[in-house]
Amino acid sequence: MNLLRLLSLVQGLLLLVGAPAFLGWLNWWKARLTRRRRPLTCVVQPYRDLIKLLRLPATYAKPTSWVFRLTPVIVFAAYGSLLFTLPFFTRPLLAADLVLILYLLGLARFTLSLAGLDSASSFGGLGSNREMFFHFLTEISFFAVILALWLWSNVGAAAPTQSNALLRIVALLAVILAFFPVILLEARRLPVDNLETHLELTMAGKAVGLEFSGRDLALVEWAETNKLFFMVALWSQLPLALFEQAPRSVFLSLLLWLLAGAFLAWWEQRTPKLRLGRVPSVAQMSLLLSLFAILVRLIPGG
Amino acid sequence: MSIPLSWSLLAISAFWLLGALIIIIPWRWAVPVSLGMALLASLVAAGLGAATWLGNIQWQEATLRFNLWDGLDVMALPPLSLEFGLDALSAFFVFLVSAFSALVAIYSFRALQAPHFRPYAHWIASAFNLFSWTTVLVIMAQDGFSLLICLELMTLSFGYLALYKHFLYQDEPEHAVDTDTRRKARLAPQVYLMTSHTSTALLVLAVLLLSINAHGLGYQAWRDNAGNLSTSLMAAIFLLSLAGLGIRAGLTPAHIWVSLVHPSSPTTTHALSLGIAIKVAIYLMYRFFFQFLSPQEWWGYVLLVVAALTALVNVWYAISSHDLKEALAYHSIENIGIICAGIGLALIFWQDEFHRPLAFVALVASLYHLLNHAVFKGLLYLATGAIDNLTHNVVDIERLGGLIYAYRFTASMFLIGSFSIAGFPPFNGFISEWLTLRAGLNSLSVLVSQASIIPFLTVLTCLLLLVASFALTAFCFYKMAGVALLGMPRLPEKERSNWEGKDVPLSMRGVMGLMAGLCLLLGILPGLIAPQLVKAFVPLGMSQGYLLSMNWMTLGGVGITATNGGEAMQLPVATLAGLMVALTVSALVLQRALPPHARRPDIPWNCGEPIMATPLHQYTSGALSYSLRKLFAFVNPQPSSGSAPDYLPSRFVLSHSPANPQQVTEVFRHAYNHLIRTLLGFSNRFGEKTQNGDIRRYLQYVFWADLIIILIYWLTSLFL
Repeated sequence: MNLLRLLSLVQGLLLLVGAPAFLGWLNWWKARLTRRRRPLTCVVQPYRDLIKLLRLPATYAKPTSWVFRLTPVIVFAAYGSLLFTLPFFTRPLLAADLVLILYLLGLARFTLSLAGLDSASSFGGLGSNREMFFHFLTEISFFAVILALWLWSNVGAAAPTQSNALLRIVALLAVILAFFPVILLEARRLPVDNLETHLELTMAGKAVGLEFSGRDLALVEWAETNKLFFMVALWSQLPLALFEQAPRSVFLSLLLWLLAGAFLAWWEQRTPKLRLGRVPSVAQMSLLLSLFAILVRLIPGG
Repeated sequence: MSIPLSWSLLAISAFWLLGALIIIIPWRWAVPVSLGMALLASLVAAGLGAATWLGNIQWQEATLRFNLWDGLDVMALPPLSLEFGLDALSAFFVFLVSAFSALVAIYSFRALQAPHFRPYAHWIASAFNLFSWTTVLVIMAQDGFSLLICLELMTLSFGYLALYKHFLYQDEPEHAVDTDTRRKARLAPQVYLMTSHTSTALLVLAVLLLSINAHGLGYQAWRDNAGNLSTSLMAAIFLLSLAGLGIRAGLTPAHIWVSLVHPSSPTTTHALSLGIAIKVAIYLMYRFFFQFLSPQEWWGYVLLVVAALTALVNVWYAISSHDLKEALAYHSIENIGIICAGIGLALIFWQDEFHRPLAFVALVASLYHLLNHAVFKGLLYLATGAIDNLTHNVVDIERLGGLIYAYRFTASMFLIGSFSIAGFPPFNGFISEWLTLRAGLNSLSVLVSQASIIPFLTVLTCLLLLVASFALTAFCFYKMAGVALLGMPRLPEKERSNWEGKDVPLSMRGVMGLMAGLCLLLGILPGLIAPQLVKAFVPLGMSQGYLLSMNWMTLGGVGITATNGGEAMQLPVATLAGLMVALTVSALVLQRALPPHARRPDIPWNCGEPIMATPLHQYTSGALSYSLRKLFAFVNPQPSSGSAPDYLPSRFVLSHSPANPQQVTEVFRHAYNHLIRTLLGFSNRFGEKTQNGDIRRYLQYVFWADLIIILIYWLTSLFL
């Protein structure tokens, strides 16, 4: 392994360890926006929670098999490896394309949903069913975003065509807008799912995790944080794709992540939860925006 | 090395036929010996197939010809012969079929000893021998005549297998099986024979058109003539063969037969019949579309649309279905759709010299998916067969549950199969789905650069439909594996009293373990597999030059640059696997190795109530699909409850509850029922008019017939 790859590995590990701080940042903003006083040091709160949970042993409900015990591990590995696809201060270790990322996200969700059925409780079935429903919606809208990005990134064509700069900006803005609902669906943020609820009947992802405890819960929560950070980081990379000559630096990435986190906090504190039957409209919105971006590509000279 | 074809073909045929015939002897070892013969024949055939495919052996003669007659001058009959041979493409399929046949044979030694198989084991073994043999013969056929003959033989031998459920229920007491189940079992062979004969009728037309224009029945003659056919004639042959082969492969709207017929055949042979043998139609598509005809662009769009619809429709019915076998049968057709999508993309770019590598990528994607599907679906079928044996014929997922405790190995194998089929890395389904999607993405950018709008929109829609069907596949197997294997057993203790106490025997577990290993290997070693698959397409004109471009396209293709600063990327299977292993190990260490270890068993969360939930608290499979059913409510019309008979069973009952009965209609079967009803009505009316039993009417027919013959005779003598 040469030095560059070692550096990439270090970068991935750094993001893996740093991801909970992003959640802390998001929660800090949410607290501030609801006029609760918190010192900025509360950004490390997710770490405190994780360490507390990691110290506790896991308990398992009686009707659970090895699927349930292995789930936190698989979910952690799947979401963890996503962070190795992000560029930060050097090129990423895992040069993955977005289709692979789509499937890695699916792998974790699929395993988590199976664990929901494994515990044989009603809430497990309820939550995992909703999770898989969201997965269906996410996969289509995410793939539409991938299609739009692919067509505007111009790499697949044997003879690259010149594209109109204005149309390109319009289309990529649409793609950036289209990706936001995908984040909400994939990371289960409001209005898709309210992670702060304590009423089991309204839970989706959290109901699946109800049975996890102690160290297993720590792994699952850490993995979820990784996913949230990954989705937001991917989103904040999109403006960089918009302008090919855009400066790429560590500080710019960091700034974009922080901005995106603050934006998400603002969005969450002003958005009510949708009921389950209305969630497809979130996916529809994303799909329509992506299709708009795709169709703009067909404009002659575009 | 050079080997005589005649001896090889004779040897494998002799083994298979001997295996089929030996069961006539009333001998207690007849079934094992018959299976042993099948194993022997399959191993020889698989070895020869693999060696030919990989180019390790040459045959002494290109084809083997059995002359039936050398042409009779008196009656002006052309010479007729049966011709067999192996090229790389057919060798690959022969290898696949016989390798699976060998695995199924090993599996069957113990599987056929289950009580519901034992009385019928001799003819299952015999029919299995015949079925494997005829399938191999279809693939080895090198002329139209032997192709049609072997296809019919294959149809008959599978029809023989499809009689199994009917035989089984016939011997059961009256009250044990309800009339609906009996009717389905009786319907299966009939439906199978009818659909197969429709397909053969269409294929006969295609073969006739090909041979009239090529002045010969041999594949060689058709190949040489491919460039001379007119466009409209080729279109006609394409549509005829697409319809014929599509019916055989189960493309929508002809998918209805698969889920009716296959659950009626013994579970032991499913891996062979649905895993591989149904793909004989795909093999023939490769031959017909790419070798005997020169593909037009629009063919690709037609096939792509049909394929995407097939995938979506069938995965939807797989979700609606509660029967493991039925759901898997539907799901096999979904995969046929994905394979055909690859073929469709290849057809689009075949004539375009500049983009031909793209056509080859799509072809390789389809073949890779074919191989993958054979492996993971084979695994799932074998595991289902094991569950069938263990629970004594209970495969309704609503009545299973908690199998992972009693039958840990079998359930784990089913789970691995589910992960592969849902296409999640590091298993094999991912690689071929990635390749198919990648081929689709590349086609889109080519179509954009050509500014062809309608084709672009077609491919775009089809890709989105395909992705939807991939997502639904994950849902389908979440439901199937989750309900059947995990959680608590759904049947009360006393109804489970006859279930086996321990898992299936070692030989069956070994076969399943091997398949599961293959799922993983095909998923992490695409770099080794894909170049070998390319060799199968050498007969279609994939040359060494394309091989080179294949390498970057399949394994080092360009990626989406948005996140990675515009540099070209590849599918980093090795890095991904290494990374995932490292992360898994470290998470395992975090989970397991740190103190304290105490883990007390607990009850699941019940809002704080210390009550152990009962199995009835679990979600049922009907409830699990509720949100999706609500989303797709528009495709589920409730049929009017008229008194008209359903010729094909057209509904899935999701819940029997009188208060809230839930059903999903199989729209296509419903439509077929309408068609049958209309046809019957028409023929009844027609028959009443023309065959009314009045002797004067018949005498009138004789008179008119005489008159017409005399007229024709007179006219011909006048002009000729």
